[in-house]
Amino acid sequence: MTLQATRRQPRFLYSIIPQSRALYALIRQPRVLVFIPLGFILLGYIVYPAALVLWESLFRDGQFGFGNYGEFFDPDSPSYMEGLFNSVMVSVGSVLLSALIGVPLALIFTHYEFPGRSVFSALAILPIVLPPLVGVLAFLFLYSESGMVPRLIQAALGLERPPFSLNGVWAVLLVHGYTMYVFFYLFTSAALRGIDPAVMEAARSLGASSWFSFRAVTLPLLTPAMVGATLLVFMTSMNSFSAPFIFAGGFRFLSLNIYTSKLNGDMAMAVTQTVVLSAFSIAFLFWMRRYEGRRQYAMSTKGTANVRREIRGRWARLLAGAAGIAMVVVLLLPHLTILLLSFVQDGTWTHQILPQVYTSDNYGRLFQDPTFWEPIRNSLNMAVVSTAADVAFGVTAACLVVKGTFRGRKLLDALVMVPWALPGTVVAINLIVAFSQGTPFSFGQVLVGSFWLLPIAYFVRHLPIVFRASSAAFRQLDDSLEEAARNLGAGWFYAFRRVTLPLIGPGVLAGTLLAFVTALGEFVASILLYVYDNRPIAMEILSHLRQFNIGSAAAYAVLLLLLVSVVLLGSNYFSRGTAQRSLS
Amino acid sequence: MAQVTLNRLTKHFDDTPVVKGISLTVADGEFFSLLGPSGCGKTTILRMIAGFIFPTSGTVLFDDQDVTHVPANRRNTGMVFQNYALFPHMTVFENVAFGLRTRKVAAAETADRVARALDLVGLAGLEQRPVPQLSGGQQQRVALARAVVIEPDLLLLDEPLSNLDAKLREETRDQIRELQTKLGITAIYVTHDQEEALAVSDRIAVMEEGECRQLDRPDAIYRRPANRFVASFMGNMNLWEGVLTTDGGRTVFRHASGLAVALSAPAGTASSVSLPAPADKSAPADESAPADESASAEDSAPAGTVYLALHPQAARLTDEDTEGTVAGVVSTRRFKGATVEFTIDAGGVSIQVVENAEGPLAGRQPGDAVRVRIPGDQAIILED
Repeated sequence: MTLQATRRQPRFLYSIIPQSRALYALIRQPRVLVFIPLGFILLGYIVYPAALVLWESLFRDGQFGFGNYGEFFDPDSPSYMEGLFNSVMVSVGSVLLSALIGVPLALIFTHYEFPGRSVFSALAILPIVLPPLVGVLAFLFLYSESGMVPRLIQAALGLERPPFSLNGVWAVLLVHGYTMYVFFYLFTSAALRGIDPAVMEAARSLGASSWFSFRAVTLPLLTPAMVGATLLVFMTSMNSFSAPFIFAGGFRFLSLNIYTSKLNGDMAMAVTQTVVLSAFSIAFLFWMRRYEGRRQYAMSTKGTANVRREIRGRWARLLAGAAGIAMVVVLLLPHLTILLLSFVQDGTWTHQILPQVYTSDNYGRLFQDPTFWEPIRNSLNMAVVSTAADVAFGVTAACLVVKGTFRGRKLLDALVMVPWALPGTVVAINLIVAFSQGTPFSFGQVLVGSFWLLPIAYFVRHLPIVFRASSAAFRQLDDSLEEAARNLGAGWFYAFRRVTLPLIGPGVLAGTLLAFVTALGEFVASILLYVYDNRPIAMEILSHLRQFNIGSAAAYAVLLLLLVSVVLLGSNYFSRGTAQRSLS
Repeated sequence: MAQVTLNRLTKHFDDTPVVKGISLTVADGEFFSLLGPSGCGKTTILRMIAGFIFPTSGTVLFDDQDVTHVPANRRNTGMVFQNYALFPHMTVFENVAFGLRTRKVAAAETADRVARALDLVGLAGLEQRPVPQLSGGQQQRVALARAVVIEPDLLLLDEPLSNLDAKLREETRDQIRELQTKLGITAIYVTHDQEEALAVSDRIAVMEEGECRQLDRPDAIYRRPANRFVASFMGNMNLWEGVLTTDGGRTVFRHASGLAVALSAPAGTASSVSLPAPADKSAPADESAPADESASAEDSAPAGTVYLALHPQAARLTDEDTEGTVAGVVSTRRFKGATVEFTIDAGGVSIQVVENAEGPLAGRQPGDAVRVRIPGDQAIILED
């Protein structure tokens, strides 16, 4: 076999398959080995369900046509339109609010030095360890009408009524701002780190004031990061289910409407709204992507190291310190609240401002009482299974897309990323519609009502996470490294084990861990798909809450929170390892 | 146009001194180089002059005006960065016009001045190109145009050539000097390349670990390095450690290997580290003495350790066994085109010799026996 012939094949794939003559023929046809299972899964669990939902939305009482859409856009009964309008407005608001918090924070932490800066900048990402439902609950107990903060202020000032309380659209917005500013913060920080400080210095030495240099140089260079964060926040916000679910009250939101329609048995309208929501999400994704592509700049190498300006004035330092501490309090309050509530004995907190009776029983029960342990076991099982599938599928697809040369690479890339643009509600509805009868993709089984539909939803939803992380890892992997290893006499397996794996491993692992914790705390798809046999942690939290077992609900939440924190710390550790090892 | 004065300038980064009390004056219109290895503080000095960082102590004066704490955007300096620091989201025109925009220059005048600046660096017609599409050399010239279009008082160049390939580097180097002369602008040039500094500068400050080790005209620095550091930085000079003895009224440098070089003039204090008078050129040099000749050291007066520096061009290969020569064996030979560089192993001391490629002995190969003439009158004795 000649090198010339093999070079046309995806290199990585080639390297993991023994170079025996018998297998060579198969490597020459990777479509046979890899594309059939890939195609089967893509078609069965992503394309087919979506297509079926689209198809079903065109039938109203068995009649083909646009009747469902007519009802949706009917000006006389605006409830559906209202949901769409509110969803879009809240998403726009969430983007603005998140940007207003996240961008200045990133600028301050990147450009200024003051006591405690590194601690504060690390704490600024704390909201991401809160699984969606948990964060919303914390806000509920903290700031709602019966929340601790308004009532404490009321008691302290001797007011007749709580000075404020959080509900409706504003509550949703605030929860979104709190949880999603992190995207802006992280994206902007990374972009600022990527900007060559010499460029800013050049602007200064050419006579630009700091404001002009910020406006004319820094801001345009931050555009790609801003677009990325805007995209993410807008989509997450359109997706958002738990915040409207808890706080919306009378307000309609598209994602919530879908859930209600399904609950009321109106599948026709559920699928119609699903199509509208998907269309909006995908259209927005493509629109932003185009904008993103136009504004990408390759930065030259760094000329000078970034120098943070030290805040020197006594008052300025005090102010910075005070603002930092206030920020930490606000950021940590939800976490601390959940922790506090997890020690509250169930049923003892009624009208008091703060809970009165504390116990550690809630935790003991989680691990001793089988009925309490079962949701944890379910979530762990489903997260492990779905993540393992994500890794198997996502890494292979990433390798093919990045290193492959076949036609249809772009299509594969797009299809795998589709679930990223689809709200969790949509993924769930798609799967319900597709697997409420036997299909070839489920080997003739009806999956609705079975254990398996929920892990499949986790798999589909979190596939883009693993895929993205793996693609990035493969993209960074210089082909010549493996060639160098082979040239130095390493066999394919040795080269894979000692060169390829250590280089892509950390990136893949980081994505895997993220997919895993996201699956552990998943709520949106769970609420639509769970059955008693696989009830996950998030559903158990909700049901305890409905029975006012606040302590038990919070104990589950703390457990989730801890798991997420540990895994994210680990993932951070691993991905930092990659950065240090890369040469350029 | 401005004269730049640094007054006992120091800079500490987290208590680590990087610049240790530099005082010097750059004359109006002068091309001044800060030369030194990486980490010697030369870029830090440049950045303090530009106003990107402020000194821990000391002052920076432009003419008579103290600018030590004036922000960078009010100093009217034009800087060319090592990586050019072009604004990646702007075209060539927008980059060059940036400094005029901040100065609120009218659009018509801006267009005119940008065109002239680009013409000056040979980039006329590329105005609308996005910067990332330019080659490295073109980017370098955009950076230069951007720095001079604002008619700065001072042109600051931070290793502007280090990202160019060898041929382009020489071309651009000469272009920069030509431009500076034409505009009559004061320029401060930071580099680690001694050839570059020698070729373009009016004066050079050689820096080591935050201190200025020598400040002089290029030819003076090359011919009379003030200390070992400067000598070692000026190409591959021969640098031997030894002692000075007096032998029959003559000063002789003795290396531990036994190599001895008779100097034609008595070495004295550091201030006499200079070329001997030309009249001494004909003075006979002592033959290199084997170790057993140390009897003659009886009447010598050994001083402390000194160092002998000798340019490889000053040493000559010869076949004649005369006074002032030493026997050795060719250990390496590097053909450089016009010249040939030899390393001669002379019994425990290795001697760098550069011969004209047309010279009679330039064909000697590794392993060949040869003698080296070491002219004592061109040797430089360094005490530090």
